[in-house]
Amino acid sequence: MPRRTALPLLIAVLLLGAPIAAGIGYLIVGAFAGADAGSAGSLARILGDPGVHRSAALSLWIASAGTLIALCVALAITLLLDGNARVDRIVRTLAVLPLPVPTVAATVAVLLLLSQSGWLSRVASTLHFMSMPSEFPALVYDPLAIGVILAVVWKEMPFLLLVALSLQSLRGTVLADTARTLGATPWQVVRRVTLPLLLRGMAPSIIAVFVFVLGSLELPLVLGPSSPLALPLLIQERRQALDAVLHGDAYLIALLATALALVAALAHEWVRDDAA
Amino acid sequence: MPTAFVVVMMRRVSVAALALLALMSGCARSAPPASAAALARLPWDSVLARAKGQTVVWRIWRGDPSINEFIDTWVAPRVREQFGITLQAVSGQGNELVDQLTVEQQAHATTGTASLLWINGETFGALRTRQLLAGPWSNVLPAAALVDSMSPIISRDFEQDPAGYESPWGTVQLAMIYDSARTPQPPRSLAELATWIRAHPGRFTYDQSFAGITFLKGAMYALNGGAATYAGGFDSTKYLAGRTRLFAWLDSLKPFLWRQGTQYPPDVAALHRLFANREIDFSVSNNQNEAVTKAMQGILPTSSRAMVLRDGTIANAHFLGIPFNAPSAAGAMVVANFLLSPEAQLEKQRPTVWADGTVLGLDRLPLAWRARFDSVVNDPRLVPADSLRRYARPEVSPRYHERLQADWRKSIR
Repeated sequence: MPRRTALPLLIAVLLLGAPIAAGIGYLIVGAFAGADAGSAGSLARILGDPGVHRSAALSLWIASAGTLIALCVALAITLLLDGNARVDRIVRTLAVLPLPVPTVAATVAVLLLLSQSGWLSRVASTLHFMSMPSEFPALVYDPLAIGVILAVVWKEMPFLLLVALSLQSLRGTVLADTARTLGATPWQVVRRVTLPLLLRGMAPSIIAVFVFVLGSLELPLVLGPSSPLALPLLIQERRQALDAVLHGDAYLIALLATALALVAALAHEWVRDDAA
Repeated sequence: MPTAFVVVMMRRVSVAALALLALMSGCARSAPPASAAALARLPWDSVLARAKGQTVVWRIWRGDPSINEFIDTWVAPRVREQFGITLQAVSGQGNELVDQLTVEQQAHATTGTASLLWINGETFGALRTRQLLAGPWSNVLPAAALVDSMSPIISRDFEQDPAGYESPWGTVQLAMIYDSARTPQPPRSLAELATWIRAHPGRFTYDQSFAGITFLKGAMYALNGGAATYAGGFDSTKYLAGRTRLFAWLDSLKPFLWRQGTQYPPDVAALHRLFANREIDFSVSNNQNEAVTKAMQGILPTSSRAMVLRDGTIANAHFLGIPFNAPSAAGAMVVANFLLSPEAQLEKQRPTVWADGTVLGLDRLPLAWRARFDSVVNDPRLVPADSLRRYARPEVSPRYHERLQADWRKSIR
């Protein structure tokens, strides 16, 4: 192998592949061979545990809805800007602002804003829209995890927006202009040219957001429902359980969660191959 | 890509790395340090002499700023000045302690990292079973003579005999917190509480963590003939009968709980916030004095008051242990003894400091000290000391807590 390809490959394997392989290997050892490992039947038990199903469904719901809404908002802003350079710069500056805010801080801000005794609720009761805080809709600790999803959107939308804007400015308007000269209507240009190109370029970022949210601990910890519990919290709860039998479960569920994230990554690879 | 899950699980790898380090440092030294059990046979002066110049790494729960401040700014400077000991409080509790020491034991690390541990209940049980604690040593501490050893709460740790392997440090008792401005006539028994909950839909809940489960365990005692029913080790039949009755009681109240009992706040901090923001009318605390301390910190309303139900509330003690491979066992013994001194116990009990209950028998103290303790304890906002004692119920086998926690969580997940 020529040196020019061997070195980058080695670095990629060492820095990217090895830690993840070690982590997954560690999970497998913990689940099947460690001191707290479960019996052969525990995998079947976990797979048939309605609590695990409900947790997985909740985490997938949060990650899908959060990513999808953030994506739609980011795309809408990008398309509405339509290459207006001055506004574009302002929007980019604004979009950078939420990025350095730690997720925990964003989460607490959402809690202060949206809980039944939060600012919005107080404003509503001051304006006599309601008489009791409990009349305010339950947006945190709620079974649909609306508070979590809103926090995800606030935190991840700017990231996707920045990616979309960079793609737009790099690509320029040549393709769109060509389509227009060939007689495409503005809507056709968006649907057939701009959107597919944007989505293609954003795909890795979209998957990254999805997987990050799927594995996020602090968002559902502060804002999420207790019934069901988000998957990362369920893993933590079983890992810290007083009953050592549950510790093996934690590794198994973590493997399951890892598999879900891997499926998302593989889906991305598949879509990319398909497009190529 | 799925690193978030992996990172959570890889924390144990770092424990193994620590053990490796400990092993290497252990190899570098010529002989293992004196054990606490060996030191306990020496005169106290000799222990003091050996402790001088030692560094004591203390693994402790670091989750409460007021406790951290008490240890870092009040205890640490005093043990340095009085005994020449450098005290380093580092984070570590419960299962983590058991994990780390097990790894060190498997690696034959004769010199470990920590010299002092903060433990009780199931952690003590697990450490003792796996022979990870040194001892006996705690009975030879000079200040041990002042401990209220007649109290069933202090002389037993979740029914286990400390047997000199841990030294008592403080006591807590579960209390309900209410707002005297909002609820001038709070319910005084479990039955009255149930009536109150039905009359005030959506205004009561409990948290999912330790305090909430302890509240449920207290209710299980009360609904099944009292704590004595569960004394004498774990009994599966008794537990299942008790759980059935408790869950039926909870089911009957469920529609009247906050969020109709479909959701529960994650921890006491969230419960306090709901209470302070008037979303609910009661909070629960595993420290009988929190109604005052949290009000001082501005977390709870100033009109907050503590109460205990007449059916009794669970009280327990927390302890200090020394690991089998403590590098500075002498220093750890001297620190444990200092923490039992009247001055350290009084400081710890002040509402402005930590408000943790003392383990000393006040009748064993000189009159002047007794008066000082009385002045701290007699706050009209708190439950009077004799009521606390009268309604205190002991912990039973930790297995009851374990099972109840697992089963209750399963029922809501």
